[in-house]
Amino acid sequence: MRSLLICAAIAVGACTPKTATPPIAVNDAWARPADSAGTTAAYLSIVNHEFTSVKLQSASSPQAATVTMHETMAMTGMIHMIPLDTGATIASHDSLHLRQGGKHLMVTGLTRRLAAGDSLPLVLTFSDGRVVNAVAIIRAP
Amino acid sequence: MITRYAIRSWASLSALCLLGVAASACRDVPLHGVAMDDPHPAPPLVIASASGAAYVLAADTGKFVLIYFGYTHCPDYCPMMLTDWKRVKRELGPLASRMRFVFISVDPDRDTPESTALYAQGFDSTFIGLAPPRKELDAIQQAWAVTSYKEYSKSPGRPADSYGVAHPAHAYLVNRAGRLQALYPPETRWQDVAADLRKLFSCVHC
Repeated sequence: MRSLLICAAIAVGACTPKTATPPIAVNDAWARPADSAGTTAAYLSIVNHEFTSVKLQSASSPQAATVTMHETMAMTGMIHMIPLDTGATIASHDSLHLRQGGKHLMVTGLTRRLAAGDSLPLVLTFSDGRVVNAVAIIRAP
Repeated sequence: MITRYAIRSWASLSALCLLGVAASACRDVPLHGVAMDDPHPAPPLVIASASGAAYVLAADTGKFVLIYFGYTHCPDYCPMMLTDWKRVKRELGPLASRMRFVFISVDPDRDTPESTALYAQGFDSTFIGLAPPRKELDAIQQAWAVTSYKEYSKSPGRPADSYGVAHPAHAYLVNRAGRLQALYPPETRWQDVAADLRKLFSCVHC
């Protein structure tokens, strides 16, 4: 009986997360400095700890008119920004990296100047209705 | 008399040979960028700047000039290019004072000479930002064989005035003789651009 209890305790322990890992984690969010009313890009990583895929549907910021997802693509000698209007899917236990020269958040109509050291609040909305807040640190790479 | 003529002929021949060597030496400098087979004179650039005085490319003969066609609402790639230029300039140290970094807007509907100058200076105070009006831009694009066009998203919810501008991916390098020396495609590392420039600075003919 005692060994059964120990086994049960071990089993419960194995299923209980050791730390409170958020189901969707946003890491390393940053954006470039920009003038008020200007445009910048925000970059970040999203880790999906869920057992199902999630889709980043849209983004916004209380300090910008619009935040839209794009992907920079170099094709036939030209640079294009492809709108990612249908969102970006992140598979279970996978990551989405928004990085320079690739997928990014275009932030337009800033309501204030962003200087190095400032921060820009971002609101990420997922297709299942979840909303995740993030803060991008402003820095010049 | 014959001797003097012979000496003069020899001197002329030597000068011609040297010129030939010079042209070939300039052409044969191995570069990371896409080197022009036969560097030809860069098309002219005369663009009114925010200060009122025109920027004249020909006036920069004797300097290496990096040129990029972009736009200030470009959130991702243009800042990457200008940040790379900042690194190139820092890496070159005092040599960079014999260079120009010129950013030309291909978005005349939104960019002004003032906003483009400020945008470029936001990366480095010596960077030149220019925004030619539509008619001038069309002539420049034709001369430089440059294309650009607006790209709109057709998805609902996008603001009507929100557009991107497809623009050339590569930067142009004009050498000290005012000739197009090389193109730098997007995959070029800034360290390689700086290495090329160091090499070209040491070539007396480029």
